[in-house]
Amino acid sequence: MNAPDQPGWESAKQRTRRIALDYYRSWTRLDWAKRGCSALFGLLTAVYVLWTIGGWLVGSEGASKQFSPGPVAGVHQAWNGKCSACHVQFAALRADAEGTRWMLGLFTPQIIAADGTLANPPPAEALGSNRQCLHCHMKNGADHHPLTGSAVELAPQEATCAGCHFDHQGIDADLNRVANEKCTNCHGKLKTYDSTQHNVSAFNVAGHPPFALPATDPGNIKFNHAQHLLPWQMKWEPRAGEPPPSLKMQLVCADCHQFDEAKMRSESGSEFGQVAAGAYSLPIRYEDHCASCHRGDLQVAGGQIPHGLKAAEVREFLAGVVGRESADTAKLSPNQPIPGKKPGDNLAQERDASVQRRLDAILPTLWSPDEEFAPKHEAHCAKCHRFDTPPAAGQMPAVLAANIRSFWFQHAKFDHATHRAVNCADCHPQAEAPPAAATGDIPLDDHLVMIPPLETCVKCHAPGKARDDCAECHRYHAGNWQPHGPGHARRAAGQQDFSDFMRGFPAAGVK
Amino acid sequence: MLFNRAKFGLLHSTWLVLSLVITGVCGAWYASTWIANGRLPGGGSSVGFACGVFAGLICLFEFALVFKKTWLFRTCRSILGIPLGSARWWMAAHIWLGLLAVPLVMYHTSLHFGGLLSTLLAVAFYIVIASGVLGLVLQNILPKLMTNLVQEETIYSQIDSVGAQLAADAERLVLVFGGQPTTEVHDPAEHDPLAARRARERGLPVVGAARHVGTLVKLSRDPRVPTTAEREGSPELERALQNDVLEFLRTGHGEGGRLGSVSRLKWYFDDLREHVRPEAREVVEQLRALCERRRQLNLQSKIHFWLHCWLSVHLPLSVALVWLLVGHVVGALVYN
Repeated sequence: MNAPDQPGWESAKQRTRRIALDYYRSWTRLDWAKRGCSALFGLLTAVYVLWTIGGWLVGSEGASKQFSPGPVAGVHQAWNGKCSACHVQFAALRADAEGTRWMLGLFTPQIIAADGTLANPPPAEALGSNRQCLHCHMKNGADHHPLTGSAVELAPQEATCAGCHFDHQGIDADLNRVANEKCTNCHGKLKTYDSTQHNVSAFNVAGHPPFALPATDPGNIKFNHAQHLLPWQMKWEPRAGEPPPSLKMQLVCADCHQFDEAKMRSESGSEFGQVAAGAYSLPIRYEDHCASCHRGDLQVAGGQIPHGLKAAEVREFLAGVVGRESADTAKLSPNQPIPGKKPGDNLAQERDASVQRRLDAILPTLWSPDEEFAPKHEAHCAKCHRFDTPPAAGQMPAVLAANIRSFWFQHAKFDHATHRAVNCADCHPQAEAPPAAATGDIPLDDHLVMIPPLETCVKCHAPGKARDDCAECHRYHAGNWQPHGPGHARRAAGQQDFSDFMRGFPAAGVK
Repeated sequence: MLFNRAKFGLLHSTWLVLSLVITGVCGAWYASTWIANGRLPGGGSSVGFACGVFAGLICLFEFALVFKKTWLFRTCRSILGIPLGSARWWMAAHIWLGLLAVPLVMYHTSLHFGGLLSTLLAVAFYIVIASGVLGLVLQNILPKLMTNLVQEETIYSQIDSVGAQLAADAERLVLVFGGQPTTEVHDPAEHDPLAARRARERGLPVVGAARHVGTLVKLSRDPRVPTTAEREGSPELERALQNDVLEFLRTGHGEGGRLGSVSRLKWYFDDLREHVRPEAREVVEQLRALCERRRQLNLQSKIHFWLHCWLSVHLPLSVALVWLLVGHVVGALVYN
């Protein structure tokens, strides 16, 4: 068609004459689509944005929610759409919001601080972030941190609650799971302030100090884990007039170290607050964990000493048992008069002296450290218990409290339940110590602290493996030591009016 | 804007280097903040805020191209003595700054879109960028394709009008050859209302191929005037005209798509050529040329659609983007 000699050929002039000069005034379908959609989208978006801004101005919850960067944590769901419950308008909450803070500072160079003074630059408190948090999480109790007010000073933005616990990370977010850096900001340079402290940079051998554990177990029960874990343990089943039969059994760790949350709380009181189900082992109790095998260790003179009696009570109990034996013998005496002695009184004196002699013979065996000194199948307190001081002649020494620990870490938490898939001995190998080579005996191990060292934990808790962040083990405010929580005082002191609580601040405003 | 190695030139090279440098500097700043804090910087952090503000300003500049293309600024060279820059400069800036905004927005958001408003903003932004990149690619590919494939290119909006004129021409060809005038003479004005209106305003009759520029000129015999056939017509030609050719030339579609492709069109007219008398073969060739022209216009219409359809997404979402940006700025400053 380009060649003039071809059919249908047209010159350029002929072609232009087919086109109207004002063709551009008419819109094509694409023009309509482009301009129509632009108008439609622009209108819809404008309505939406103006609604959100207008809603913010009049305090509409639904409109303000559009600005929310995400749902707040479950514990704050009641205020999910109430921005003013936590936010002070035109005040940056996040610790790292230096940019926004700088921008706002350009427009508000003078901020009225909480005490009415002008502050420039505005302190974090004056920006209102902590004020809103502390309205519920009252700060009248324990300090936020023991070092508060000391030489260690946090940057204003780090000192805000949201500096570590920023919300809007979803309903399932754990606000206690702060980033490691929030901790290491200070703990990474503790030696700067106190040369006795360790710098903590990460959870590994180089970056974390060894666990702060006592050198020896402060418990006062003589015990031998390996011995108890040997097969064919003998279970005591008393039968009248017969020696105990040998019911053989195999003990495992869980026979004594049991885990249950509900019982734990009732047993330990509120000192440790709420702990997760199965996190810690229940206290070891004679009745629950020892008596089934060791009931025979409390038999003496044909009687069973109740476990838990104090020293004086043991003597009184034994006197009763031994006296009853003597009385039974004395019942026969009135029919057999003894020359030169009055019936009754002389027998009583004799009986008392006999009881005293018997007691003097029995009692030392109870606390003698020499097990062989105690008759077989007779009561022997010292088999398991230790005493505070060597007893005076004829006196019972005071039994030291068992002091078996359930909690070993004061500043960290542990959950046995989450580690239940692992063999106990993998973390506590000392419990299966082999017999001594010389004697073949298995030594007592109750003085050993069987808490695994840091090196054991970091085998699994390392980058790329199990979690190794600070918050995995540590709770800054309200871990196992409840008084650390700023909200503790609120719980202890006073509650809010319901409407104030749901609003997030008092009707009269934040004070 | 066409890119090619030969014409990449100083303009694009400058923008490319500038974009890479800014991306690198902001990236280093972002990485250092990330390492120092141990977590991704938020939008309110120094680096996040700076990148957000920069990206926001870029978005506004990008949107300014809409106004630059209006009649108000289309030919304006400067405002208050400040040169506005050429259309070429504006388009280069539009492209490169738009691409630069992507890493800046990523630094600002750390790929966390947040709530509904900011998520809508981010989605609109990425769709606008994606549609813009698609448009850039299409604008660099399709015009060359069109030049090669559509030699009979005309103005897109006039395709249907030209098609109607081609139909009138075809009708005339057959009539001149000796055929009978159609009982229902096609009025090209029906297919070009603007031309018809303008013709009626001038009191001119609308016949044949409407000529609505200047004075109406009849290029051939008035098709409404019955002709006395000096020679015998060709029934095959008339049948082809009425059954297939006219409809195809007017609408671009034919029954069964007989004329829709190069090969079909060739087969159709080769067959017709075999069935007409030898003296009518020249008319067949001319009809074939008209249909080929219309086929190319159809192809132009399709290419034009793909060449410009992305704008139906790019522009509306750009408008939405600006509004959402306003909302985001207000929300970010009030509740940071």
